[in-house]
Amino acid sequence: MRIEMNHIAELICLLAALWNYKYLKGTIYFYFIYYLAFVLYGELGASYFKYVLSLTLKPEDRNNMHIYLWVWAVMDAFLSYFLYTEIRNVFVRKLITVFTSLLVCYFLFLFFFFKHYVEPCYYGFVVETFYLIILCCIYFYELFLHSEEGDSIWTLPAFWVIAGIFIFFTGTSISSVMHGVLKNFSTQIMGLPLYSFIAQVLCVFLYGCPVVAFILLRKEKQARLFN
Amino acid sequence: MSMHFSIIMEFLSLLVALFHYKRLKETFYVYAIPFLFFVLYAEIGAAYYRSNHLVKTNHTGNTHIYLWISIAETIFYSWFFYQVAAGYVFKRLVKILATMLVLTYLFLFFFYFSYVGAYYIIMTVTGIYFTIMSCIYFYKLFINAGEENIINLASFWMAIGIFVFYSGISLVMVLHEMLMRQNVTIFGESLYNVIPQVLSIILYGCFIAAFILCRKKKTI
Repeated sequence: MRIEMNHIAELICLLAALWNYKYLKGTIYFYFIYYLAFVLYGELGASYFKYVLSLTLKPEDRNNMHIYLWVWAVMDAFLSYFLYTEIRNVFVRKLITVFTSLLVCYFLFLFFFFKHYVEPCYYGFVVETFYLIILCCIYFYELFLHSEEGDSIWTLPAFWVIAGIFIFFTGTSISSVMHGVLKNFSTQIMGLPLYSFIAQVLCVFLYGCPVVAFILLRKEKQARLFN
Repeated sequence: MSMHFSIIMEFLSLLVALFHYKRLKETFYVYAIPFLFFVLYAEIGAAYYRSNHLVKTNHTGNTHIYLWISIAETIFYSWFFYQVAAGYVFKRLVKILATMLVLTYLFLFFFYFSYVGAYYIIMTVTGIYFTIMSCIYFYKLFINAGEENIINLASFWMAIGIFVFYSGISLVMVLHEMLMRQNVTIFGESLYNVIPQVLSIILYGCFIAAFILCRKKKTI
């Protein structure tokens, strides 16, 4: 089994969340603990499946997409919920509820009704990618619209989390769209296919930015206690 | 794709829950709607998978779907006991045991390819866990009942359903290996498939009773 960059980034983020447990309690950031634990557990399992278990299986059973399908479904549900709590527009919030439910139902449909679903699952991930990018853009638009209301955006924990989501999904969207093409070529970097390598590098942003958010939240609560 | 009792009962209880949505709103029972929807969706998928994709060489059959149903059930029913239970120790116990069970299910899904036998063992443990939790709940309920008629309590009916269902299926799950080897069948179906189906009538029937009895002020 190989320990990859995403495992390390997820573990650091989870440890940071646990370290700041007291300050996250009572906020939406508290649920990051469950979310990160699930994603880390799932990705470790996917890695074990890929490098250890698949060697003993028939070629058609070797992909670990059944694990990634759940990781992506949970990712979609959690990150959409996070954006739902941050976006102010009521209409957009209703749209998030509907669209997220549909997307999760699509992933579940693949899992419940099909045996092999690698490409359809990637299509779902591509849709999820663009959907989350659009939601991030709506958040940034609202943030700049109401910029005179509060502090600098750099001190907002939500801004950091959403910036991480935006960078990760913008970067992975193109490689995910081209997954069908890229998997046929032997384009590899450090022993990984290009679409995997890009996702691993961008994971640093996806899980690094919440660490900054946790620290900001801690500072914010500590300052409030002193006052 | 053959129709099952459990699917019909889940659909009926989902309809009743949607019909009483206004009443269930602001109570714990409103979360039964997404839960029932998930279980119904998964069971339809499992039935479809069984009739279309199952071949003799397949290692897991549709257990991968039932594993996720079990995870959802463990979370939802544990949460129910966590809500209705009085006492710090009981709540802590529910939290710890439910987390351990969910992690074990996930471990099977993430780290194994073939896990039918192991799944049935964990299902048995889950069955025993819910049976004990129901008994503790009943004990506390009878002690603290006072003048209130417990038959009118939604949580009582929910706990009754969970108790009957899990005490029944844990026996079947324990004997799964033997029943499969002996090929014991009723109405052309394996006995270990028929018993959960019959017990699901009681489980979801009790759900329906709980939804009907649920009032905004009588939250658990």
